Amino acid sequence: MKEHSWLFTKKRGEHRTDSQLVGLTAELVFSAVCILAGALGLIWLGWFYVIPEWKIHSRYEETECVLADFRISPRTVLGDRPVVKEPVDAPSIFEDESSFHAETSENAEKKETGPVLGLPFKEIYYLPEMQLKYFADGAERTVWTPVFDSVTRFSKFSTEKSAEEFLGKWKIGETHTCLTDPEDPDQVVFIPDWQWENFLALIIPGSLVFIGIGIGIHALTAPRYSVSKERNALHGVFRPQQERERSPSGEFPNVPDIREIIDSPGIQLAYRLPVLDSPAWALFIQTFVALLWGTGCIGFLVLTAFNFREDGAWLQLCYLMPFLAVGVWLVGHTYIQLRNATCVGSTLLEIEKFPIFPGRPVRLFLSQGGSKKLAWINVVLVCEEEVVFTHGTNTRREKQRVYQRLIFGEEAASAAHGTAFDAEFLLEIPAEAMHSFVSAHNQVCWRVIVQGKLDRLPMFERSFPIIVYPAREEEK
Amino acid sequence: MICSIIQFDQKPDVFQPLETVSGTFRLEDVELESVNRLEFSVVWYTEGKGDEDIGVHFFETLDWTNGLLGAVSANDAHPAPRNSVCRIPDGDEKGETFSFSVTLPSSPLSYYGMILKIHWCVRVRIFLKNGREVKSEKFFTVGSVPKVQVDLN
Amino acid sequence: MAYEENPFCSRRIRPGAIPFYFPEGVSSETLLATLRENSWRGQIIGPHGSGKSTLLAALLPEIQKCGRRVVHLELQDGVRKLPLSEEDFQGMDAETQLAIDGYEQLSYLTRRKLKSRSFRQGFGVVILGHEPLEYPDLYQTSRELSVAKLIVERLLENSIVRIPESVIEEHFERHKGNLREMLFSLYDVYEEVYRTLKDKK
Repeated sequence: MKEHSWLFTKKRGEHRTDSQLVGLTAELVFSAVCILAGALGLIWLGWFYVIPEWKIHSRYEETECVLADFRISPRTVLGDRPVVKEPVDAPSIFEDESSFHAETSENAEKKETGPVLGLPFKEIYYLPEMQLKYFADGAERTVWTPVFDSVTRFSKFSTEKSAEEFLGKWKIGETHTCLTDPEDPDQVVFIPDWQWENFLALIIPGSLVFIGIGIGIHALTAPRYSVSKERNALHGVFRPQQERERSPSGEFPNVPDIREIIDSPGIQLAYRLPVLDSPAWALFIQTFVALLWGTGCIGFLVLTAFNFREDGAWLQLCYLMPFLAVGVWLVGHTYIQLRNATCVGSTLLEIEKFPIFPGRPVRLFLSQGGSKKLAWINVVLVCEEEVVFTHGTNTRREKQRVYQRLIFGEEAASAAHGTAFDAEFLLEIPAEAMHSFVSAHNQVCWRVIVQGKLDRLPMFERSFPIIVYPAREEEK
Repeated sequence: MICSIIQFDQKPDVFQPLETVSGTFRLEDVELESVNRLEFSVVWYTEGKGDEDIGVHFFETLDWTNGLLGAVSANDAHPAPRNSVCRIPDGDEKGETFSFSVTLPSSPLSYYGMILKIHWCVRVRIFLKNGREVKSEKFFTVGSVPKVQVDLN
Repeated sequence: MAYEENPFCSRRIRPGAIPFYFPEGVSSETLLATLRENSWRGQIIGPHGSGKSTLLAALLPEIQKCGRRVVHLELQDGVRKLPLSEEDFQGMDAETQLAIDGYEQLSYLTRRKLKSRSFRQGFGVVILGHEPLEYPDLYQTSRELSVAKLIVERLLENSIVRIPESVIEEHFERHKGNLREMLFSLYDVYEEVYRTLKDKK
């Protein structure tokens, strides 16, 4: 049965709307959205977390302080504007609790300091505070301060009990480090150490900005491979005519340069053949992206977990879910590909001599590595015609396989588990076959393809180019 | 009708790499004085689904300035010296005969594939003084690569 | 060896190699008149493989016969600027006709500059595109089965091979009316039939 020739056609604007303008607009919109989302994230994180964090830690001075007392201050949110109530003479929580509640409620009614909006009472939250005793600017100071969980946000709770539990982490009389403003020693902040997750979280919005910029640049400039028609049309598969068409001595015009494939010496035989389309670079880039994405997601997840008791944490988690899902898929997919690539191992194919002439057999040596047992392995010789047609913006490539022959095959290969499978066999190009040919838009190419399967892994295929010279009279 | 009839010395028109393609081409129904110049070439070109590529193996312009159009070869025996084109006397007033001899390269061979073919031919273009152009070509085969039948075993 | 060139090879189906089949009431003369009315500015729009380049190839010689100097640009994929130098532009005047295949991939800025330049210097511009752009409509190509059949018939007129209409229809449908792809597809059909006929002989 004739093999259906596969077709790779590239047309701008055809697949969705037939309009390059719409395509470009969509790309730019996507780019803008990525940049905007990333920028907003950067600004938000930077403004509310990173910059204050840096300012506090760089400007404020560390001072030793003693935890003198604790208290919980109720706060009320009226309408949409918080009304901060002074907890005047509010007793310590370790004294009469009931009197505390009664007193604060009473105070709450009497001592509103904010503007009364005439709006109904909406929400109350509880602010744990500490009284810190410390030395600053030559004097002992005693100051009440909220407990900050980040430089811009103090801890607050919706119930008094959770506020009490929070304060239970510390004991009165303990010595800790606090931060004081050297310009105003009465300003003191009790805060944990650097919140490194704030900085780590910048990776996610930062990545979005980079991605957006990259897409935007690509959309506006388009890939500039070259301005020459041949190089543009051939996309690197067919190198420029003058480079490839000449054998080293110029003896065989339009036969590919043999130096491309004999620059690597073999171990068993003379030359090691190069692999076409090695997945190494693609895997490397994919791994890098997966790591970057995964790290960013983990950073954000950690940040959310730290602030889980705060209002809005669930919302943060919901926003994070799609990114997490993509990250999990990306990491998983990359792991599988890496595992397959490493488990399959390298395929080495060596050849006895070059050039190859039709009708004259040459020896090949195959060594297939892999950490699992080889179920089967085949070596196939193929010949394909490849052509490129260009008109204006349309570039059309087509490949037609015209010859295929199994030159070596083994089922349940005999190599022991974990050792390389080695085999030596003959390669013979049919006596009247066409030689390798290359011109600016057309070529005839010969390849040796190694296909195989290891236990519990998908089938693999590796392709090795060979160059066949025209048969000489004396070779026939 | 003005035309150029090309003939090879060898029959069939099948040559091997590095062999010499020799023959004659004859201009019919034209006076040499009305010819501005002649272009003789031995080329290969591709045909198929891809853009056409062409390789010019041998090219010679015969005009009055280089004397090749006017001069008759002193050696009136055919064929022409290797890799050359020259006019030879043939005694016929109604046309002119030229002899050619070109050594072929070792590649590419003629190829009759599925989506790609490679053809070799001899081309003669006659540029007349009145601005007209007449082209003729004759194909020949280089090598013995048979027509491709898709063989996927 | 005598051989018959496959009539569907790239050389035979490239724009310019096949004539453009005008519908009734339309001809290159009528289109030229429209172009002239619009100060030699116009756009030929239509989907891929519908004959835009073929129409342009048919019009350009007629434009030349009107005494205009034609500058025909076929932009390769990815080219966002015009491959013309400042000197080239300065040489363009009211007798120059610029024809651009691949106009849509030019950057917005380039297109604006070109339009303003054409008005300033007076040269005409004909563009090919997939949807209406900033030039007056000259012609809209479409994918017609009847035209496809005409083209195939013409290509096969000196051939020993005949391709049934049902096959043409099938390939036309398969490629959704893209004539270029249909013709390349018929290349394989022709090759198979021709080889079979030759082998029988």
